[in-house]
Amino acid sequence: MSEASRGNGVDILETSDLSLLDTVDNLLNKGVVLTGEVVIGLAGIDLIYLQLSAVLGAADRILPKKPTEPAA
Amino acid sequence: MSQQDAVHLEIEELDALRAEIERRTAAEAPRWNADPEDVQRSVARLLLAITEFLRKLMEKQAIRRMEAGTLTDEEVEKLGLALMRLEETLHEIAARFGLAPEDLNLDLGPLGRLI
Amino acid sequence: MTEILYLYAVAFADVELAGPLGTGIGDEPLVLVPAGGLAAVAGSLSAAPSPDAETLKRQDAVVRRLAGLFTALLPVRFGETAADNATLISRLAPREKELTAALQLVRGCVQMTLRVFGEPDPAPEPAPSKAGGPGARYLETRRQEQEALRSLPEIGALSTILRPLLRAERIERRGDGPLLGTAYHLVPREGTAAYLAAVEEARNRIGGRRIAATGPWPPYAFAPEGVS
Repeated sequence: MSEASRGNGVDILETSDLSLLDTVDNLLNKGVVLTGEVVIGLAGIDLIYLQLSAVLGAADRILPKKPTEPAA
Repeated sequence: MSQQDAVHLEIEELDALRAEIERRTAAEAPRWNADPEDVQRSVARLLLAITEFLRKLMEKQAIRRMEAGTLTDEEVEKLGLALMRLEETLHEIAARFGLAPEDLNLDLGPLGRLI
Repeated sequence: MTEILYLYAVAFADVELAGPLGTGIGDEPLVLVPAGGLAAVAGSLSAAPSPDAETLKRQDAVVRRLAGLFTALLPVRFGETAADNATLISRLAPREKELTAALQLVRGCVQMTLRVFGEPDPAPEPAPSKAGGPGARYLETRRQEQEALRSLPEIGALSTILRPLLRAERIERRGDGPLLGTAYHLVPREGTAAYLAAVEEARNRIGGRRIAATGPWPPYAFAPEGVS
């Protein structure tokens, strides 16, 4: 199975500039993420684009509180 | 705002930093492709990886709520057992397809890194 | 050609700006897209940009400038796009609560990044398990493992000196050398000189380990985690 491909970020990492490395770290690894996506394919052909943005969240923060069930 | 570098790094330190940043960097839109030579194993791996991803997510949430004190002792025990058994089951099924636990750590891009 | 919305930052909707928004990485005019109590800073581009060195630096420069216009600003990760305002709003709205909390945290602050190099301390003995069944002990073990990944006891002497200067701290532990881990520190804007002075002062008190501090940066590392 082919590995997930890395983005272009790899090229800029060939640097000895600490500040640039931190810029890469800040912009590519940090910051607010609003999208989560995966592309699923077969035989090298992209077939499905999965967008997972804002679908995953903590249940206790999003769902209304359930009344506690009486002990069985 | 100005920037300051406080010390000159050794080569191996820079290399290690570079490697760590690269390790954490998400792919643009990560692609997962089924291996046409072994579609069954390939699809099994994806399904198990997605389940493991959700399991890790649930585990993280359970720990958060445990720390926040919003779970009863009984809930903590039930969740812990369920998560433990789920992890064992996933690894067992994976082994049957010749997959090690590490093979279930699918790169899901930013979403994966957020666990 | 259909344009997409390219996202730079998130702020509170109800603010008075200290100046015009200016332009983004493609010299496109920036706009505020309100979404409930929040607003995203965005520009229209023909396509998502590629992460080459120049573009990343340019985006950091845009975010820095924006950070000077708002009292509280959260940078968005590079490469985030939305098809249109409606899509953007639908993604922001469910996260309003956590983004609001994060904005309140970073208000008036900047990020300093501290890289720690050297050997780890020997791993501590796992804490003896309290009374509880196997499920509870399992979760407790996992909790301790997670917590270990967010701590750098090796720089304890430095942490003690820095603590009063910090609004918040995020640690990513690597656990093996040469890079032991990274501490991202949230420091009030006026406190960076004191921060750097403290780093200098404690530099020789961390068991021969080496540290490199960079910054100030906009608070990239203090965005809320995508899944909370």
